[in-house]
Amino acid sequence: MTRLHQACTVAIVIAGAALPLTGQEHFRSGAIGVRVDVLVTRGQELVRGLNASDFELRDEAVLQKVSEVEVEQIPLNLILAFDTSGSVAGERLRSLIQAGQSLLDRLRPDDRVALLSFSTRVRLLAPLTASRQQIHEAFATLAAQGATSLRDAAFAALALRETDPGRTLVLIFTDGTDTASWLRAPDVIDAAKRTDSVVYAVGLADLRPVLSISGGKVVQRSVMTVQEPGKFIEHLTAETGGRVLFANSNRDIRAAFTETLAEFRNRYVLSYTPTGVSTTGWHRLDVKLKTKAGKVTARRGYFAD
Amino acid sequence: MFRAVVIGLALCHVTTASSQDANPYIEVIDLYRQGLEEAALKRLAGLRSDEIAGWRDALFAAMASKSRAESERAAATMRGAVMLHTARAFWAFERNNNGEFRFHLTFAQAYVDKLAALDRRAPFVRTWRLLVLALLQEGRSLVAADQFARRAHDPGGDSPELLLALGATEEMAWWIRREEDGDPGVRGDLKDAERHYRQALIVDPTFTEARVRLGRVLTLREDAEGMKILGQIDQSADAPYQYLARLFEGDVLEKHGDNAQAERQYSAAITLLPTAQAAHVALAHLRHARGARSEAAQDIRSSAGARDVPDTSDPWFWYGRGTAWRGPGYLEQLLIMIRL
Repeated sequence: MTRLHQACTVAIVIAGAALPLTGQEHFRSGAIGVRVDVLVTRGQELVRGLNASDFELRDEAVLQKVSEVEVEQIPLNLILAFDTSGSVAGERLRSLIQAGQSLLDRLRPDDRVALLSFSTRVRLLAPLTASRQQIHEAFATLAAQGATSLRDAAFAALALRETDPGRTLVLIFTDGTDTASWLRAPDVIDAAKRTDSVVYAVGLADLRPVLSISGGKVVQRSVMTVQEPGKFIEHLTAETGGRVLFANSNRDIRAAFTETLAEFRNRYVLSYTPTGVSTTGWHRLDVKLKTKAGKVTARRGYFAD
Repeated sequence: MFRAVVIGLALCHVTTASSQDANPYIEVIDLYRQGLEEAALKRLAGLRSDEIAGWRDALFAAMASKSRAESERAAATMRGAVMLHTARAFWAFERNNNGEFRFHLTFAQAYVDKLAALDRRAPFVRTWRLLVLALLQEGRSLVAADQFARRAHDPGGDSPELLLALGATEEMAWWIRREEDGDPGVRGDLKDAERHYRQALIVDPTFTEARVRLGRVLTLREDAEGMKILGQIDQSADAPYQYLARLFEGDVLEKHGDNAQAERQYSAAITLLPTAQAAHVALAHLRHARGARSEAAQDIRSSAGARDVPDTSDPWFWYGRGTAWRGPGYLEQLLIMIRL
């Protein structure tokens, strides 16, 4: 056992100063009501110019009276969770950092950012901060090696949501499946139901050869791009009303990040005070357009604690 | 891991190489036995496989010699060859070169089979098998681990370490299939895992790791005996085993809705190993689920924000890799056995 003990206790060092406590988040309360982040698309296009009267929202099948909150007025909390497992080392990591830096340039002054990295361990490299310099410095510390604690990192990102009026976007970049987390997928999905954060994920498309037989030989005709999110990340993003985007190459990570932010900024935020429903437990949400055409994407429900 | 450990061990007792049947292959083996791994692997790559096969057959013949001295010398060279080919196999394994991996592992296996024919339970034979299983589990290559373990099985009685490795392969496969959306290529049967761990404990009742794993698989099967067994992992056990036992107990209690007791067990795990992250994450999740969001956020900030903590400082990480953590120890033993 000595060796395991040594392996596990090489450096028993805990960060000295605990970070300041923040208050509880308010996904909903009777006073401020429920806020629902909604994306409307038609084909590949975002549908803009809608207002609250265009939406029909049901909470536990009970029709609610909704109002719209101006997205422009709400500051953004962007929580970045970057996969820094061994497979990200090299060019991919450089592209990831550049994509992250590019994202910072597109934020508004009152937006805040946090940076988590995850490999064998989840590391909080910068807590939510308005300081771009702090995030740039945190990017500079990213190094890729080890396994993948995707689920633990997703939970950590959700748990970092603070109590403030801001909208929280959790942006996860990963190029692999989980190989090291303690939490199981349902644990994290359950946590997602208890927050109002919207989770987007950017994955890398898988390139697979297309083979055929020619002249009695197997030859490669072309390369097929396969965009398959893992079940967990697909479930998590759908549950929170987000989605998975794919980069076909390392160079495309920046474009996927930019698209995520642009899309998030063009969502609608609906607000209502629940009426005619229980004040506790799981509430299923159903949001649709009354008359106009478009696909509505929103979180599937929420827990009223 | 293989190469890193070899370099770390840096064999220093370099003596004159054996003069037995000097040929390029024997020279390469002797280089390896002297601790010059990089040079040996480089030169091995320059030898043709048909030549190696010829020299291997010559070694087999020498081992069958009526001259005891010649036979023993050949056996010693073969043990060196086993480690040389194993090193090359896992060098290829790390680079996803499955063909070369299998080629060299098959070579090593052929030598081990010959050595095992003399003494199936020789320390070198047993330890080499455990090393390969540990390395395959570290790489989460469970199909290979399963096939290899079947060959390693001794109808006359397996060692507790091999039984542990057999059980861990089943347990890992179950976890990957069930919790990681993965297809490990092996069914992963917790009942089989339980059987192997129980057998290991029959052979060695003091085998704490087998006891922890038995407790864990029983709890995963929702067998009440699991908590009883985990409860036996007390202060007499090393801290990492106590940590795992408290973590697993907390998991069961949380599932049963006993949040207060679950929190106590997670906190106990944190006290045992404050930098290990799984217990912090478990505690944060528990608190988040019961609405204590700021406490949960603080748990995450203090654990994920900790600096200078090695990635692999959590026993949970090693638990998920079967017997991988034992690999460096096995390798060290084997290198001592082949040292020139």
